[in-house]
Amino acid sequence: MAKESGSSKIEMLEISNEAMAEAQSSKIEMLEINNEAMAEAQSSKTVTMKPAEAEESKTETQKITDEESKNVPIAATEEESKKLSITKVEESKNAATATTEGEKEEAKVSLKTLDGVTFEVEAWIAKEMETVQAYIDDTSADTSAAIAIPLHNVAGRELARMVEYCKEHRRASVSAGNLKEFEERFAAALNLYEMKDLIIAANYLNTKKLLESLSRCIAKAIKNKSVEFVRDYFGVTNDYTTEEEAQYRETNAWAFRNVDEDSRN
Amino acid sequence: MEDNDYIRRWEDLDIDILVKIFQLLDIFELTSGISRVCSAWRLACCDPLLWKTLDLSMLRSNFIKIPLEPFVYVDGRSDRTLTRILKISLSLSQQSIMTLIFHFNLYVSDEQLTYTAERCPQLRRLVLPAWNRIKKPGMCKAIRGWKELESLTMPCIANPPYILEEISTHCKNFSELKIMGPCDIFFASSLAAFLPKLRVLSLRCSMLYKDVLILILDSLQHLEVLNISHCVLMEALPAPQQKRIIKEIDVTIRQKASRLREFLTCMEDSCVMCQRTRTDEGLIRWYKYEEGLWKTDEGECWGYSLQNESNAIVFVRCGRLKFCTAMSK
Repeated sequence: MAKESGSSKIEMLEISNEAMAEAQSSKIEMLEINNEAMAEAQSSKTVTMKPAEAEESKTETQKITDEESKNVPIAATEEESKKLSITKVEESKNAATATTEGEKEEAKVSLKTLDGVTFEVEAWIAKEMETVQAYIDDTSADTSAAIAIPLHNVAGRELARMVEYCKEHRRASVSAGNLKEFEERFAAALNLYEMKDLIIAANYLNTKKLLESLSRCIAKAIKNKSVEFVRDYFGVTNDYTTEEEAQYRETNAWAFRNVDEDSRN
Repeated sequence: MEDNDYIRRWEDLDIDILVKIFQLLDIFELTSGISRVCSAWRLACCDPLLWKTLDLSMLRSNFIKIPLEPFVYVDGRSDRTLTRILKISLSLSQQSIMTLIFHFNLYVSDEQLTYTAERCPQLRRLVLPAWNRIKKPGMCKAIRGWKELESLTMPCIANPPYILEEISTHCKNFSELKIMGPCDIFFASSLAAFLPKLRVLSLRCSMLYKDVLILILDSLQHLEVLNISHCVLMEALPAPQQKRIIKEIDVTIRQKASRLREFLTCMEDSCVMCQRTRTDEGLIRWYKYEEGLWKTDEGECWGYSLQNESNAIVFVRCGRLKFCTAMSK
């Protein structure tokens, strides 16, 4: 164990379950915790103590062997030296790790759509959008944090849906069944115009998972359908001349047999 | 349609988005009218990304076997279907096809092969496991058009020199050959004479004589990969015995094969594929087995275990040789 310096730097200790039980049994009072902090401490199962009390608990946990304490990090900041948080970790892990009270929030990225709406999204969502990620990589970290990244081809409505998709996809990807069900639900909730605009946005931002999902959905709608049905379904204008059409129909008459009924299913 | 400047129409979708969608469609859907929806969709249908490979392995002829040459009679309707699919796909592909795969029960005619060859000048890999209906001039004409050809899957044929000679003359980058049928001494000596620079040779699931194998190992000095997995390895003996099955690779062959990068073998009694080759007397009847199995080749799937219904094939490295050992489930 490293010795304490004059400035009373307190070491953060990894306390085994046994030691944790001992520390709890020593009935350490919780001091100087306001209501807010108390609520926080309870929600994260964190016990916050004064340095002196931390010392007391430290003496009780001297049983920790040298090997166990080799990798214990030393508290570097003054704030850390004032407070020592002993966090109770899940029972599956056989160690309780001391952590600082202020947990660092995940970095966010600002995105500005073509209709002027600004979105603040988590960094991992921005990473899913390869175009945005490339922009972040190209510009310095400071600049990208300060400026909203302009998305010239994406409207607010589409971006909101994409963010929703990324979040839901992450939740659903625990099991293959859930994921399939989620993708079907997501696609079913879109009408054709929304799907078209969303696939354009997904292509522009290069959001691979969403692009694949929407492509599958559209391909499914096209499969084994007559040309007339596809035109009608997607509202596509036939720009072939009557002669071209007749010639094509004659050459490929075989292609017009055995197609599905012109229904949406 | 919503009256908004921002709203885009389906025909105005970027070509690359349409291509991504069309990549999920099979050959029948691509050729059955998608290109006729509008000119923008036709343009997307012609994208080279969709046509790197023309896989017709789901298409087979409706045929009956007959005792006279070409030994098969193909129903006219299935012939016309193939012609139409070839016509449309070769028109849309605009000469960008690099891999062409035919089913082993798809009997292509001379005209169909010639038509295809003229429209696939960039072809690198051809899988053509049955060519009963193709005459010598048709085959030669096709090969002359495929100057970039590197890999060929072919059936065992009675008169191999002419085709191997054509390949050696016109396909300068040719390096891979897979024969779906027995390889005799005549075929092996033709290989040695016309394709001495062959790098990959697969003879899997066929009958193979020991002297043929030795000839291949001695004469193909540039050979890097040899696959004789699930072959029935035979040895010719003096009368009255005539021949016997060899149960394991002997030292002579091991020594000769030690220079190869990969030597794939499997002669296990417990291996389902080996059992099938023996049952079919060295000329495996693929139609009896799992669909797509005929296309598999251990040399292409190195490092993976190939799963089928009844066995898992695992590759084991043994010194510089690679052996394919099969484990029954």
